[in-house]
Amino acid sequence: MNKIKKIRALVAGLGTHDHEKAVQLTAAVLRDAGMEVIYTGMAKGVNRLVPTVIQEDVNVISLSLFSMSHLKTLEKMMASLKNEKVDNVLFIATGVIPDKDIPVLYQLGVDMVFKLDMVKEMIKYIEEKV
Amino acid sequence: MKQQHLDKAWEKLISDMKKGSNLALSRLITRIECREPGWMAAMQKIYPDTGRASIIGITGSPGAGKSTLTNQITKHLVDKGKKVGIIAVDPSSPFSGGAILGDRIRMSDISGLDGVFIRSMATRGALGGLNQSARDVVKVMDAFGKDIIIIETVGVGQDEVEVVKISDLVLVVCVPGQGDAIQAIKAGVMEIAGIYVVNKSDRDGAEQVVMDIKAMLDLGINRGNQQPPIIQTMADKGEGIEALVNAVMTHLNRLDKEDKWREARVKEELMGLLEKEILGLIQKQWNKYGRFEEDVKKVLNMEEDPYAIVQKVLAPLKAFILKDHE
Repeated sequence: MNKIKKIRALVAGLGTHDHEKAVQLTAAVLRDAGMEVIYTGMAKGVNRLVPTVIQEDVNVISLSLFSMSHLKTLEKMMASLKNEKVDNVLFIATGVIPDKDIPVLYQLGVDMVFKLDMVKEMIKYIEEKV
Repeated sequence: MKQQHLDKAWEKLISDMKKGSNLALSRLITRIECREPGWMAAMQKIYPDTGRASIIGITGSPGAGKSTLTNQITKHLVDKGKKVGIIAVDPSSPFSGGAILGDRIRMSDISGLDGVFIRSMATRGALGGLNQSARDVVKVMDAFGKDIIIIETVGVGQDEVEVVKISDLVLVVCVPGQGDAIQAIKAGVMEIAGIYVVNKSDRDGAEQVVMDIKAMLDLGINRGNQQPPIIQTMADKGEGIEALVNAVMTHLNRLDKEDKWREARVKEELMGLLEKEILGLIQKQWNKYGRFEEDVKKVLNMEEDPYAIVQKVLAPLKAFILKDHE
């Protein structure tokens, strides 16, 4: 009947506030594609990201990485989501990611990696998968 | 009460929610917000467990510090052993339908706290509008066992007044430096405030805002039985929050459950539900076979006027409803 399907996406970044503009841009792009974006800015750790994923019932997580020193955090987040039985959430990594690290991200369970300039591909991917 | 049949997925979510699963609560909220088939039967199932929570609406112009206040108030409530549900509303873009829901940024202190559940909601379109779905989300959180549910509104728009009407207590947040603080608040909201909060009280002009509110109250504009308190805060520094929380608790404890607002609320809820359902039914029928698009074209080509078209669409419904009452 009055059914309204909406894609809900969590957009967050790991790292310092220097990179926040790039994360905001991802949020704006997804909003303009008609999605409801839960924007949390730069995350301080998984303790707040995981409850956000659960409480907001998002379909997509877009996590921006700007340094591979955050891989540990990502790994912790993946484990925590699994532990909380959160499934059916598309996990996207974006940001500044060196090519050699992309396989590492897939190994950790990331569904897809998009470079910062691949927003169109990212939207298409989300719309297909959700 | 006639209970519609519920499928297994709904049954499972409701029973998991009652057992305290945040994930089930969250998924239930999504399904109800999206008006998935069976949502009304699900609400019927949940309804008997509602009516326990106190509902607080927080409103005020954009940038008044509503999210920061919500964050601070919630910290105090959790310290008092309360379970808190928060609904943070932001506007949807009328063009893309998308939204950026950013209230959690200022609520990061409480985002992972035990007993706290924050849900961001976009206003979405008119159909299944915010008013009714926010009302239903409140009920689900209530049934889940939240003691206090805070609805933080957008700060602009008509939904504002509507959402505020479902609260037991409304906090109106004013700040100095936004011109006439009272003019900035929508008509219909000022009158039903239970507590006035003057936030960012370290700024110039805070005393003036307090005096303006007092002057307005002296005119007898507020509809409550008692003069509402005016509380000064600096939410970002956590100052004045204790006094505010005490005033909130005093107000909630004093609330007469039989007051006139409750009856008005039921009336409004019935009309609101009916309105959305009827509109939904009509739209569905109208869209069938592309008739809606045809009618739009007729208006665009000046073949028919909108009034004639609406009368044509309403005619069968009118005939049916009036049949027994002529």
